[in-house]
Amino acid sequence: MPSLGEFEELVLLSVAAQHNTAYGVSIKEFLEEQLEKKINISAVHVSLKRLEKKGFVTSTFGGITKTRGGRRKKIYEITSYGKVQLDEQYRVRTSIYTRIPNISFG
Amino acid sequence: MGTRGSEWILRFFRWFSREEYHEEIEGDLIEIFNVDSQESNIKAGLVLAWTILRYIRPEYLKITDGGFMVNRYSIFVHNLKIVYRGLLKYRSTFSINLIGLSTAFACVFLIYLWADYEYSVDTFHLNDDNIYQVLQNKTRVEGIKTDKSTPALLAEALVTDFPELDYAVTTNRKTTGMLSGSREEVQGTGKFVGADFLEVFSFPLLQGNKSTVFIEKNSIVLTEDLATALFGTTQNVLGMTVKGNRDLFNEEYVVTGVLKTLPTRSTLTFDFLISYEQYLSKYTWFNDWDSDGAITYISIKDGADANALNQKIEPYLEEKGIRESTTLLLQKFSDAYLYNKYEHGRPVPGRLMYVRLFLLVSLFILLVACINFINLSIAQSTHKLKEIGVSKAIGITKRELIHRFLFESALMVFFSAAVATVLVIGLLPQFNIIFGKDLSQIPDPGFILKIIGFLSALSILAGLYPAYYLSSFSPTSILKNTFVNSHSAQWIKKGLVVVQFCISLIFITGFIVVHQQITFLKTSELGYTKDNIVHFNIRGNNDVNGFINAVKEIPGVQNATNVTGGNSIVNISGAGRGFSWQGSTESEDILFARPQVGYNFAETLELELLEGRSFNEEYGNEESKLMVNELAAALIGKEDIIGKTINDGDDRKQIIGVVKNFNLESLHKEIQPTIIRFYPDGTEVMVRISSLDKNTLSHIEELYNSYNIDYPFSYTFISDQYEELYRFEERVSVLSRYFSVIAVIISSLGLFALVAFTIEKRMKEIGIRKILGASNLNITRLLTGSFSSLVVISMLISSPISYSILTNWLSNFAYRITVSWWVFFIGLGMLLFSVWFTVGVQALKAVRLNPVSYLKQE
Repeated sequence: MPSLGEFEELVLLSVAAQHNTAYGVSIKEFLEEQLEKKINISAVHVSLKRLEKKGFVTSTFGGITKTRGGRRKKIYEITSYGKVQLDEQYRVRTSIYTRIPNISFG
Repeated sequence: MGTRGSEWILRFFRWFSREEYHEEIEGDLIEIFNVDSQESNIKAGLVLAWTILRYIRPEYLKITDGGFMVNRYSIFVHNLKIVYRGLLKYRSTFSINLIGLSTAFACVFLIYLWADYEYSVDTFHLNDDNIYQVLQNKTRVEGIKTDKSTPALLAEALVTDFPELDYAVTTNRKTTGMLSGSREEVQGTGKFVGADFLEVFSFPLLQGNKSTVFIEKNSIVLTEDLATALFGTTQNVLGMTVKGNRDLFNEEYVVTGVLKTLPTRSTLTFDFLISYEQYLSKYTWFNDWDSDGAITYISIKDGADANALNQKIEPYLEEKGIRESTTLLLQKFSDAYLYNKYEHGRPVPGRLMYVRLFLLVSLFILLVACINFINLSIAQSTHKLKEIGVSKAIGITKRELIHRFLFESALMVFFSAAVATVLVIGLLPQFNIIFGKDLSQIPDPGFILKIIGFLSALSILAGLYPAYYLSSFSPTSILKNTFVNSHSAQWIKKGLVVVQFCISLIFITGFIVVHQQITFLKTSELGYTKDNIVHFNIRGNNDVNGFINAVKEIPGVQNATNVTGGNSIVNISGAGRGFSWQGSTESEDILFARPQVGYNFAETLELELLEGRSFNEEYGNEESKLMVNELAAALIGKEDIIGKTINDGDDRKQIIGVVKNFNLESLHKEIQPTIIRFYPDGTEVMVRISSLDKNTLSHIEELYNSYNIDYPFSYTFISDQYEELYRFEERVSVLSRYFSVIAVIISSLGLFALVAFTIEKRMKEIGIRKILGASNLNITRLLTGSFSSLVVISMLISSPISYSILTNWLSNFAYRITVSWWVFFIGLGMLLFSVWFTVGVQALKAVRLNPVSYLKQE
């Protein structure tokens, strides 16, 4: 199974979260909101390309909107393979997390 | 909505990125831009620009026309294959082109190497652009004489009076002397130079400081080689003393600097440099505006206008009231090597003419080879017709065909150039001997770039006409077999052959005339017998006459004499005025050559005595006597010339003999009226021996050594010195011989191939003629006839050209042959012979075939 970088994971999560409506700008805005920092759209695009190449997402062209100067959106959707990857990642993390002993970190 | 004012950024994005991403990314970018621009348009633009820059990464970049590249490559391979097959099929054409072009390239490369060398002589000085030599133009009755020798005081005066000057230095011509250091006594030739010599000329010092080396008048700067010879090392020799012999004023000199071995491209050559102060303090008469004999160089300030300075400096001597009818002239130091002739007081190309001439000649050879290439390509077209027709029919455009043919010629040119390079490397040692120069050094990148540029231009030039010609055929007429060769191509082919013949003829006649002239120079009557005379110098010996008398005692020695003020008889320089006689007028203050000679001068050189006698011991001191040559006798008055009194300056002298005219210098110059004066102590000794016998020579050497002369014995033969005068012409002759042979061979080779094609095309005609009863001779005559007329036309065109070139060249000589008409006919004969031979061999081969074998083909 191909590895997943940190930012790629975030983008993949965003795609999954924005079911059927995820495209470049929406993912960028979503992440900026969640992470509370500025993100450059090019980083999002690079991650999307890689995710698509690894088979975690698929894309289709969506409708034209006025704000896009006549260009169609490219809508991304998570594949089941991508979902398995996310589930696996989540499982590993929570499993490790639960092992943290209950000590006060004062 | 778009991106107001920022479209160009998107255009840039579209330019570098892959098309498949355009829509998505652009859409997203525009969307963000529109959000941002609500805040500020400029900020939005900046963000957009920055973001787009971040897309410059491999996964977004365009694959630069991958598909197209592959296509080009396959065309290249295809062309290569076709050219290669063509070469295999027409091996003889290929090898003729290869031989012709590579020989021509080898000529061009060699000549270019040499020319490059000649152009670079003396230019290595860092200050090259600013170094000038000061010359004197003296207006005389005979015309303006340009003289390198100037007053020794000039340099200092110029620096004081002209603020444009940085430095001015004085040097003497050269001084040969013996130097002794801690290890050995060595003979060396050097110069006395002004203090700033090394500031002006950048000869690098290994040790010492260039601005202080000549502060003391007894300081000496040695070259590496001389220092090693004197001390066995170049380490720590500063401060050591060197003792000079009498030619170096018997002084002790302190070494203040060591120079790196001088570059070979320097016309200033010396083993040592001594302060000019020393020279002035010994030869005090140079401290005077009336004496010439110093050479003056100046270096002007950066940015100073040399032309303006030249005009300003011209009347300097007259304005200062120093000299009359004498002006000064500046010549750029590094130009003096190529512009080494002076006419009407201005430098004119002397050596440069030869450099240009040879460059031109090598280009002509190249032209001959290129013409072969062009003609053979045109002649070959009949073979290529099918190929061209099919190519065109399957959709190859004319443009692509032109590319293919140009590619073919480029391949030919570069391959030949590679062969030529190998040839040049092999021939260079031989060539170095002919030119007396060492050209074998790795050329700089600029040189190689120039050559590559030249070759590319040439491949286009040579390939262009054939390419256009071949690619213009109509495919239908070719494939339907209704194609007729165009008339214009035939004319061009013939025209080019005529050009080749003309070049060959010019070279052949040139070689004949140059050779004739040189033979004439070598064998012409000089007025003296130049063979079997040994010449050497006995400087530093007080008893010259004792030595000469002793030499005459040696068996095998016929006679001996001595002269002064020059080298030997071959080159006694110096002429003077101030002779007058009864009936002579002021305006007849004629310039006479005036050698000063000892006893037995006429006898030793075998001058023909017309009247009177020669200087002879029997008459004791003859200083009040003179001899004259015929020309001088005619000027003075032939009648009763023996016994006439001549005023030589303040002295009254008597003429005792008249000799037949004889040459004192090379035959470039005319014999001058000559007055021979007597001077018993000249140190240039000439000994006539009966034969070139080793014994006699070793006896002379023994005698020389017993006389305790400072310098080691070294002798030359007058006949060798005489040949040396024409070394340059000899080189011209050797080269013109090589070039004419090469030109004739290359053009004959081309002709050979051309004839082969022509005959092949006319085979049917020949067959029919034979069947109708034409004899072999008839047909051979028919085939050679058309070429013979071309040769004759070429002679008519080339003769006036070569005549004018040759008479121009001959005008360099005072004694010369005339270009006779038969020279052109010899050229014609030689060319006709080679043409008949080339054509005849093939014609005979063709007519001897059975006509049936090629007539039944259809």
